Amino acid sequence: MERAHEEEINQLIKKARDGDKEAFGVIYGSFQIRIYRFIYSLIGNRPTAEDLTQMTFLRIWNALPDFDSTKGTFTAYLFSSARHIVIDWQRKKKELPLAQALGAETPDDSVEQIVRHDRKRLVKTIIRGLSAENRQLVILRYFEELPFAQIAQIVGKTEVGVRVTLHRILGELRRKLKGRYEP
Amino acid sequence: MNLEEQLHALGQHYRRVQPTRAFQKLGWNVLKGELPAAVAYRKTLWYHPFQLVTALSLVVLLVGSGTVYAAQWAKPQDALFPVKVLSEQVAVRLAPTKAIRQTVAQTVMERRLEELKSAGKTNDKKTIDGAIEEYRKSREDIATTADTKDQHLKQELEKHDEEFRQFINRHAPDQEKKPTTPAPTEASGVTVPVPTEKREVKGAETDVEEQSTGGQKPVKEEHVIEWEK
Repeated sequence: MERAHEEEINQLIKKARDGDKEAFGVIYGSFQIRIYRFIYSLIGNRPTAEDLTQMTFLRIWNALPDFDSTKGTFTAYLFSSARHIVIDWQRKKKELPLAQALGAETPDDSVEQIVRHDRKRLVKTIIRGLSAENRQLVILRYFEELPFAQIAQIVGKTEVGVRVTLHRILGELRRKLKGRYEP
Repeated sequence: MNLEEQLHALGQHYRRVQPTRAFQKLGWNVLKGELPAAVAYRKTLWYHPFQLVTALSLVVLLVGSGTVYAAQWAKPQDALFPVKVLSEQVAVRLAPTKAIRQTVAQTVMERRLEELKSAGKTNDKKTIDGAIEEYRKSREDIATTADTKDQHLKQELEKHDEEFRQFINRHAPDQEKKPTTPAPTEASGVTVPVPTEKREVKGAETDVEEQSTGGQKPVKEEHVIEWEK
C-alpha cells in the first residue's frame, strides 16, 4: 500500500515538475498535516510550525527537478527537508535555552489533557529532554511510524546506524524512567 | 506496558495533533500564490544559455569534426546544412533531461526561424521554399516532443507561429495552405551514433550536391522522435 502511494506521488511529482501546481497541491494536501505535526513536535509553537511547514513545501517545489525517486522515497525527502528547515530555524534561535527553543512549553494543552497517566507524561518529558536529533528519531520511528530505511534517508545515516541509535535512546529513556520510579 | 508500547501509545496522541482549521483550509491557497512559475523552466537551457552552448559544443567534440563546427553557420540549400541538422538532432538526443531536450528542440526552431528571415532577404523562391520546409519540420518535432502545458513554451510557440504566418503571407502566399512535407536530409561523410532515433536521416542515395541544387525527393511519411523514458 505504501508502495502504491509512493508511485502515485511520483506521478504527481512528474506533473508538478512541468509546472502543474494543482498536482503539487494534491501532494501538499497529502502531507501538510504530517509535516506540520512533525515540525510542531520539534519546536512547540503553532504559528512558527505553520510558517516552517510552508517553507518546507516551497523548498520542495523549487527542488523538484532534483528529486530522484531511485535514491529514496518522496516521504523521506519531504521529512528530510522539514528537518533541515527546523535545524536552520533552531540555529537562528541559538540564544534560547535548548528546551525552550525546542518546545518545552506547549501553548496548546490538548495533548497534555489527553496524557493523564503520570508515567506517560514522564516519558514525554524525558523525550523532550533528549537532544534534537534523538528526539527526531523517536518521533519518526514511534510517532510517524516510518520504516528504518526511510528514517535513515531522512537523517542521512545508514539503516544500521539508525537502529543502533534508537536502541541506545531507548536504553537512555529506560534508565531515566528507572531513576524516577526507583529510589 | 513496556517502554516501546508506551512510545507507540504516545504516538497515538501525537497523531491527534492538528494544525489550525484556517491553516488546513487556506494553507494551500496561500502557498500556491507564492510558488514561482514554471520551476522546470528555470532549470532549462532557456534560463541557462551557457548549458545550451555546452550541449552543442558536446556534439562538436563527440563528432570530432571541423565540418560539424563549420556547419553550424550553414543555411538551407547550403552543402553543409544537412550536417547542421544532424548535429542538432544529436544535441537533442544527448540532452540529459526532458526539460533540456525541449529547450534544445525549441532553440533549433529558433534557428530555423532566423534562417527563414535570412532566406526572405534573398528574394530567391528556391531558397525561401527550402527554408520554409526546414521550419515546418522543426515545428513538427516540437509538436511531438514538447510538453505544451508549459506556459512559457506555449507562448513562445504562439509567437513563432505568428511570425511564420506573416512570413508566408509576405514571401510565399502560395504555400499558405500547403501541408508540411518533410524532405530527407543527409549528413554526407559524417557518422553519428544515434541508433534509436526514429527520425531517420534518410537519403543514403541522396547526393548532398543534388539537394543543394534543389533536387526533389519523394515525400516521406511522418517521423517521430522517440525519447528515452
